[in-house]
Amino acid sequence: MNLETYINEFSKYVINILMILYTIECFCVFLHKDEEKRKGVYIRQNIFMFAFHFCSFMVICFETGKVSYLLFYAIQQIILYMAVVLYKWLYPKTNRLIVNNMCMLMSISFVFLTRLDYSKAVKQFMIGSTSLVVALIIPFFIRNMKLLKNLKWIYAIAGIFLLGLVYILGTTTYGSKISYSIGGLSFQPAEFVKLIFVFFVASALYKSHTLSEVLFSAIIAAAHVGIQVLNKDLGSALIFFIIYLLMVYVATKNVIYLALGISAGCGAAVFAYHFFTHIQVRVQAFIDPWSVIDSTGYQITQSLFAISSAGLWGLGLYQGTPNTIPFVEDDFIFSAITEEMGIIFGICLLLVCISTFIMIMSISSKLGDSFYQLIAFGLGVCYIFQVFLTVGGGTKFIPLTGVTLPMVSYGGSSILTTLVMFAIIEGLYMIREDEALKARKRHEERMRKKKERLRKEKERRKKLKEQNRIKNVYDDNDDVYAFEDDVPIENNITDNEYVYSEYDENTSQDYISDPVEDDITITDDLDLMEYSTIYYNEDEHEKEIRRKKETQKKI
Amino acid sequence: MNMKKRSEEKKKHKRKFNLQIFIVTCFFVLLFGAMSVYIVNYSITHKIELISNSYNTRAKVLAKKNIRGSIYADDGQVLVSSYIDESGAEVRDYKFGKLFAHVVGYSVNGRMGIEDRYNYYLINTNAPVTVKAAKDQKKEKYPADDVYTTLNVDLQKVASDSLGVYRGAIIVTEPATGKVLAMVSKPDFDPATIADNWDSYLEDTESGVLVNRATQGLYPAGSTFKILTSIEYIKENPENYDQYRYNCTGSFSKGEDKIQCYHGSVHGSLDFKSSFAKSCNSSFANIGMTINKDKFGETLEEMLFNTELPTDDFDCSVSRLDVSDDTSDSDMMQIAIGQGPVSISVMHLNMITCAIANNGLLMKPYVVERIANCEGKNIKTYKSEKYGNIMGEDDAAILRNMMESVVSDGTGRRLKTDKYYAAGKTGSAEYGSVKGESHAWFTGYAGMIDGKEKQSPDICITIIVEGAGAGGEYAVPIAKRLFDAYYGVEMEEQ
Repeated sequence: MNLETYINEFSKYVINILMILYTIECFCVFLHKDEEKRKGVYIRQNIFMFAFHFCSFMVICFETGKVSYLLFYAIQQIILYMAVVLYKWLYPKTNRLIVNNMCMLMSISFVFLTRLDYSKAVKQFMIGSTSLVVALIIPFFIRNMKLLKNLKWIYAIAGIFLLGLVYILGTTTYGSKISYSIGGLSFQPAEFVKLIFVFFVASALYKSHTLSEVLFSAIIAAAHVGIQVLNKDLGSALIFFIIYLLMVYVATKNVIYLALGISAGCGAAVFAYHFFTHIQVRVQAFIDPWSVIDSTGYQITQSLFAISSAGLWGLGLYQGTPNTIPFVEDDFIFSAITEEMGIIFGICLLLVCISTFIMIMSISSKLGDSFYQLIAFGLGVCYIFQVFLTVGGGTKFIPLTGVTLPMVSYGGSSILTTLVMFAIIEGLYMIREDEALKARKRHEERMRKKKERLRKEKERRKKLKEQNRIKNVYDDNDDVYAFEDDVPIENNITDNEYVYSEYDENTSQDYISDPVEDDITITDDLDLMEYSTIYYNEDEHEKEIRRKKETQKKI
Repeated sequence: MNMKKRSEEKKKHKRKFNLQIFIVTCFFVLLFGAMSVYIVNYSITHKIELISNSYNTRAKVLAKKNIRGSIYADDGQVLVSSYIDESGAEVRDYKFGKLFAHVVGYSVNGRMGIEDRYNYYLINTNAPVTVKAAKDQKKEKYPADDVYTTLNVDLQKVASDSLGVYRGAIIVTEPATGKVLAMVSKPDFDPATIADNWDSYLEDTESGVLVNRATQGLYPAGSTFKILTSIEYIKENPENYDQYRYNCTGSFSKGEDKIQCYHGSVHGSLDFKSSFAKSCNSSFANIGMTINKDKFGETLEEMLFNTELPTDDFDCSVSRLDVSDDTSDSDMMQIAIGQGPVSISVMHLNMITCAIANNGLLMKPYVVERIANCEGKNIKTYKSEKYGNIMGEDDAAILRNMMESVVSDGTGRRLKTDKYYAAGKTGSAEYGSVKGESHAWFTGYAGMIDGKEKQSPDICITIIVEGAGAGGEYAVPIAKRLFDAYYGVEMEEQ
C-alpha cells in the first residue's frame, strides 16, 4: 500500500465534491425567504467549509511532509470558527451567507497561499485575522452613525488626496504606481479609496439628483479615474468608472445617464489607447499573446497554460506548476486554483462570488433609505466587478488589468478592504432589518388603532340602532338600511385618518392571512420588505397631505 | 377615482424589487455565465495545443513523472517504445529504425509526426491507481498512454524498399475509411540518432531530409492532373463527353505556344477515354481550350486547391492553383496537362483519388485509431470521418472507368493481373529548366474481383519518384509491388 499515491489520486475529487456541495448550498439560501429557515443551509455550509479546509491541509501535510503546517491549520481553523461564531453572537441579525462565503473564500485563500508560498500565507493570515477583528466593529458603527450621509466633501477630498499621494510619493512597481510604504508596511490606497468613493457617490446623489448634482459628482469621479490612469493602475480606474456609472443609473433611474456614461467611457478608452503606450501593450497582449510570449504576453500565456492543463477535476494539490506564472499569488491566483483543483472548482468559486453578489443586491433593493441602498449597491458592484476583472483578465476573456481577487489573492490592503466592505454590508443588512421592524411596529400600531376605531364605530352604531328601535318611529326595514348608508364612515373621520384606512385596507388582507401576525421577532424578508416600502411611501404620502392642508389653511 | 388610485398604490407595493438594481444584477450574472462558458470551452479545446508550446514547462514536468508511451502498428507491433537504461535515463527505442521516420517522427530537438501530434497523450497517463501505487513503491515512473496507429508494417516495408535510393514519397490509404496504411518519404533519417545528426540535417538544405515529402512536398502534378481537367470536362459536357474526338499529331499549337506529347509520341485518332488512357498532352491541351475557366476555378476550390486539407493528423502543404477568366490561353494549355503553375501535395492527390474510388465521398485521412492506457483500456478512439462529396457519384463512376482503361490499354498496363483489378493515372511531371527531367507519378486504386464483378476499391496508392522519368516506367512497378503485397500475391518474375 502506498498511501500517498491514493491520497494524490482521490483527494482532488473529495475536495471538489465538498466545494460543489458548498456552492449548491449558496443558492439554496435563496429558496427560503426566512433567515430562520435558512439555518440548516448555513450549518451545512459551515460543515462543508471546514471539511474542505481540513482535507486540503491534510493533503498539504502529506505532500510536503511538514507537520508544522498542521499547527498553522489549527490556528486558521480557530480564527475562522471564531469569525463565524462571533458574527452570530455579536450581531444576531446579520446575513450569514455573506459571513460564510467570506470565511470560505478566506480558507481557499489560506490553502492556496500555503501551497504557493508559505511565508506569504502566514503574512496574509496575520493581516486577515487582524482585519477580521477590525471589521467586527464596523456593522455597529454603520448601524448607529447617521452622520455618514452628510460627509460628501470629506469623502471626495479624502479620495483624491489619497490617490494623489500615491501619484506623488508612490513607488513604481512593474510600471504602475500602486503603493507607498509607511514604517515598513506597504499600503495600496486605491483599495480603500474604492470604499470611500462608494460613500461619496451615495452621499452626493441620495437626496436629489438634478443635473448639477450629477455633474458635480461626475467631475469628482473623473478626477479619481484620471489619477488612476496617470498612476497606470488601469484596473482600479475602470472600477471607479463602473461603480460611478452604475450608481448614477440606480440613483437617477435614468437610462440616458447610463448611455452617456458608456459613450464617454468608450471615447476616453479610444483616446487613452492612442496616447498611452502601456494600454496599447496590454491590448496587444490580449489580442495575440502568442506573438509577444517573450515579453508582455508571458504572464497571460503562462496563466492560460495553467488553466488549460487543469481538466475538469484538476491535477491535484502540488501536482501542477502554478509557480511559473509571475505574480501568481496576486493577480493570477484563480489560474493557480483552477490548475490544481480543476475547472469545476474554478466555476464553483465564481458561483460563490456570484451568490454573494446576488445577496448584496437583494439587501440593497430592499433597503428603504436610498443612501444605504446606494452604498450596498455600490459595494456589491465594486466587489463583483473586481472578480470579473481579475478572472476575465487571467483567462484572456478581457484584457489584463492587474486586479486582485477579493478575499482570495495575496495582499493586505485588499483583504482588509474586502473584509471592511462585507462588514459594512452586514451593517446595512441590520439597518434593513431595523427598518422592516419599525415598519411592522408602526403598521401594527395602526392596525390596533383601526380596530379600536372600528370597534367604537360599531358600538356607536349599535347604540344608534338601539335608540332607533326604542324610539320605534318607523318600523320599516328599508329605513334601517337607508340609515346605515347615510352615515358613511369616511365622513366621520379626518383626511389624515382616511389615508390610514385606505392603506390598511390594501394590506390588511395579506397581513391577516399571515399566520405569524403577532410575532414581531419573525423576520420574513419579503413581507418585512413590503411593510418597509409601505411605511416609506406612506410617510411621504402623509407629508404631502399635511402640506396640502397647510396650503388650504393659508388660502 | 379612489379605486384607481388604490389599485395603482397596490401595484407599487407588489413590486418588491428595484428595477435598476435588478437589471444590473442580471447583467453581471449573465456576464459571469458567459465567462464561465468561455473558460470551460477554452481550457478544454486548447488543452492539447497549449501543452505542446515550448514555453509551457508542464510538458517537462509530465515527462519527468511519466515514461513516454509507445506507438503501435495496426497489428499490434510496437513501432516505438521507451525504456530506462542502466544509467536511469529514458531511451526512445525506434524498433524499425528509419522505416517510419517521417510518419512517426521524433521527440527530441522539437517534435515531428505522430510523436508531435499525439505528444499530449504520450506524456500523460491514465494508468489505474493500483499501477501508480505499485510504481511509486518501486520509485519508478508511471507508464504514459499509448497510441495505436493504422500503419501497416508490411506495406511500409514494401513501399520503402521499392522507392529504394530514389527521393520521393508514397502514401497508401483505405478510400472507404481514410485510414493511412503506409507513408514513406525519402530520403529518410534514423529518429534514434536525430539529436546527433541534427546539425548536418539542418545544413543539408538541398535534400531536405527532415521534410515529410508525402505531406509537405509540393510537386508539379504532370499528367495526373488530367484527372481534374477531365472532371471539369465531364461536368461541362455530361451528355456528350464521349463524343469527343481528336487527332493527335504529336503536338498542339495555339498562337506561339506549343504543347508536345511526352517523348514526341504521336497518338493518332483519339476519343475522350483514350486521350486519358494514353495521356495525350495535345488532346488535353485541346480540351483545356474548351472548358470554362471560371467554372474550372470553382471546381478546383471544391477539390481543395488553395485551402487547408482536412487532415487532423498531418500538416499538409496547401496545393496552389488559381484559374479564372484572367488566366491566359497559354497558361491554360499548360495547366490542362498539369504543367505550368500547378503544384500539388502527394496527400492531396491521394485524397482526390480516394474520393473517386469512394463514389465522390471523401473520407478524412487519419493515422491514429485510438489512445489506450498502459493496460490497453481505451482512453479515446478516433472514428473514420466523412469530409463530404467533392464530386458527383456519376462523375466519379466515369472517372473510374477511365482510370481502369489506363490499366487495360494505356500507360498503366503493367498493373494488369487477374488476381485483382487496378486503376489509376500515371504522370511524368517535368521540372526545372532542363528538358526531359521529370518526376514519375502514379495515383490509383485496386479492388478484388469476385467472379466478373468488381468489388469496391480497397486501397488507394499515390507515388512520386523524384527525377526518375516516366510514371508508367518507374512509378507503376512500385504500385504493382504494393498491390501485390496488399493482396498477398507472390512476386511475379520481373
